[in-house]
Amino acid sequence: MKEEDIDKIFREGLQDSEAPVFKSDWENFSHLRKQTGYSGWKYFLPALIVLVIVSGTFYLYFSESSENIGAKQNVGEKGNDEKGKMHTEEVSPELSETESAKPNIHADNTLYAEVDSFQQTQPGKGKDGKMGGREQESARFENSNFKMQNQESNVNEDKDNSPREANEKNQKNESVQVKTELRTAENDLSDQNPVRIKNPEKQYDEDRAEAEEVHSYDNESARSSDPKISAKILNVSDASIDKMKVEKTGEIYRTEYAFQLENMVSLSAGALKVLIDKNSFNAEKMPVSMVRNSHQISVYFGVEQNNILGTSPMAGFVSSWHLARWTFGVGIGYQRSGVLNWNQESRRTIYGFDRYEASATLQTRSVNLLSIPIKFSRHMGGSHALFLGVTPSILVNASQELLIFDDSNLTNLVPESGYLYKTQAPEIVYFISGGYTYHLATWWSVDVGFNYSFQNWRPTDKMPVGVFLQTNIKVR
Amino acid sequence: MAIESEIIKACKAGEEKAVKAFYQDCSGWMLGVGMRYIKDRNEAMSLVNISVLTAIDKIKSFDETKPQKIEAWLKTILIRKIIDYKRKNKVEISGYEEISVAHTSIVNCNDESTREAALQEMIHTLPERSRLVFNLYAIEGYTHPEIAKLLHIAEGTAKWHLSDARKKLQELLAKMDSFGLMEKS
Repeated sequence: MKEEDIDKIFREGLQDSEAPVFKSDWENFSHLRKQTGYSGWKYFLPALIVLVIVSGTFYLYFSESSENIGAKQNVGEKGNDEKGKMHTEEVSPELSETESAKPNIHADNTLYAEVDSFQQTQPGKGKDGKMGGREQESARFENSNFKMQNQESNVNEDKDNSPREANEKNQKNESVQVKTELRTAENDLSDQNPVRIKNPEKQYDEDRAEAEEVHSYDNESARSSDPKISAKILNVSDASIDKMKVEKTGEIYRTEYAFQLENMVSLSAGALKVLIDKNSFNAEKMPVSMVRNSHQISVYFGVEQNNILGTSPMAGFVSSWHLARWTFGVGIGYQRSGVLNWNQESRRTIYGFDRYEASATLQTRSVNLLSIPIKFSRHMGGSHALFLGVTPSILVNASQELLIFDDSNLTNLVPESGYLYKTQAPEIVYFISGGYTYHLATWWSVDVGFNYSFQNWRPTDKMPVGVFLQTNIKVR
Repeated sequence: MAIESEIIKACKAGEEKAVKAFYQDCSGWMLGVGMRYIKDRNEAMSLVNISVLTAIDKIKSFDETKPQKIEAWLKTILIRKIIDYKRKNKVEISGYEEISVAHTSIVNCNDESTREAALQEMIHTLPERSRLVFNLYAIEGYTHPEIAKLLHIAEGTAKWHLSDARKKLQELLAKMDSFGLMEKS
């Protein structure tokens, strides 16, 4: 038999063959058509979720903006009222009156303890054999304390002193009390921050030389003339010596929010477009069956827009187990916050026989988090799934800078990233997350969701809320 | 298989009755084609349904003045779906099944439908890739370059599979002939 004959037998025998089709086949077809049609909740649900997330973020944004504007107005009015006073107190109502401001004050004490401990570690002489500004002040401070202690020991003997002497005694007692408090705070700081400056003398010389080149903050007017510094400095009244508070600068904060809003809108628009495009009926791309292995490992990349962390990228691995329509996933990842500009401002005036002033700024630019995402997903049919989970995030590192100003020096104590004041943020943050997953292919999916934490972040006195867009790629 | 141009026109307008008529006209014939590639009827029917959905989705691009072309168009859609399905599900390229399975079932196939079933069963005894190539070449009329492109294989490989399929079918037909079952052909 020739090859062509074989072909002919089968062609003629099977070419026009038909198989019987039953009513149930038509019903299956109709059902399939409804499932993949344009109408139905499956098309609108993703759009609705995105709409809710976008609306929520807008609401958060506007409520935050109005708070900042209100705070700034209050500060301005109060400043005008007290115009003419040598020392004014410009504290926003939230900071000065609410309970939430109290932990900040405590945190600042630990910050200022750092300033004081730094002064204690300085050598007695400068490079040229003379006392530098800081050394002189330190010596003056020690001298005044010594004198104060002598006077204190004789306090019972000097009961007949003049009113001027009585005032001096009061000042002296205050200074002694302040010093005791600062020592306690320094000990606290040592416990919390094992990372200290390894070579303070060398660090001091370098920083001082650099500071003298860059700025000359010789007096109060020089500081005030610098808009950046004067916007940040928080003046403290005579009555509240050594009290330090955190203030987020209103203007900077609003600018940052403007960027965040812009990013958030563009991300949400992109997510919405992807969802609408993919939910349009396209049988060509419709999977015949979802591939559901019992176990798979995925790599994820994403970006989150958060009211505290800003626009933060994230990446990591997730190991998933599938059981019928349910999926459980656990993974490990990294998240880096955007530009934070958390400025913790502090200032104190030491009264005694020799009075001097000093201020410090701890600036946190970004934080790095180690995330452990734990996620439960429920497949809703087709390419759709909903998920809910919790993500413990461990604060591992931060990019920070501590600047100290005294009468004649600007010192940067923390010039490199890696120094972390853990009093600025919780060490472990628990984010609750939820959202929607769309499977573009068996190996590729996109998540759109929200993150929320009940924990308060001190620098901003807020709880983090964010939206994120994440893509998951199956690697095994 | 023929579908009237009126039905195609009504499908374009989105009329539900026309969609049903379209389905009734083409599904049986498409299932016949599908079962040459996939032995399991339910699997084949699922792919027919998906192919009809695709056709209805894209029917606006089809010229209703040339209804005679709809057969070739639907067949192309279905075959592509079948190949995609097999690729995604990584259907195992099975070995050459025992001819005796087909042999026993084709004995006494004295009417047309039974004869068709017997031929179909013979095709299903072929290895997966050889069956695909034989169906596409001998029955659907595809050329070797077209088959090579569709299946992502070399043209020479396609020729080898065809040759292998023919050889195996020839053995089966020879056995049928010995039973006197090839008289009609």
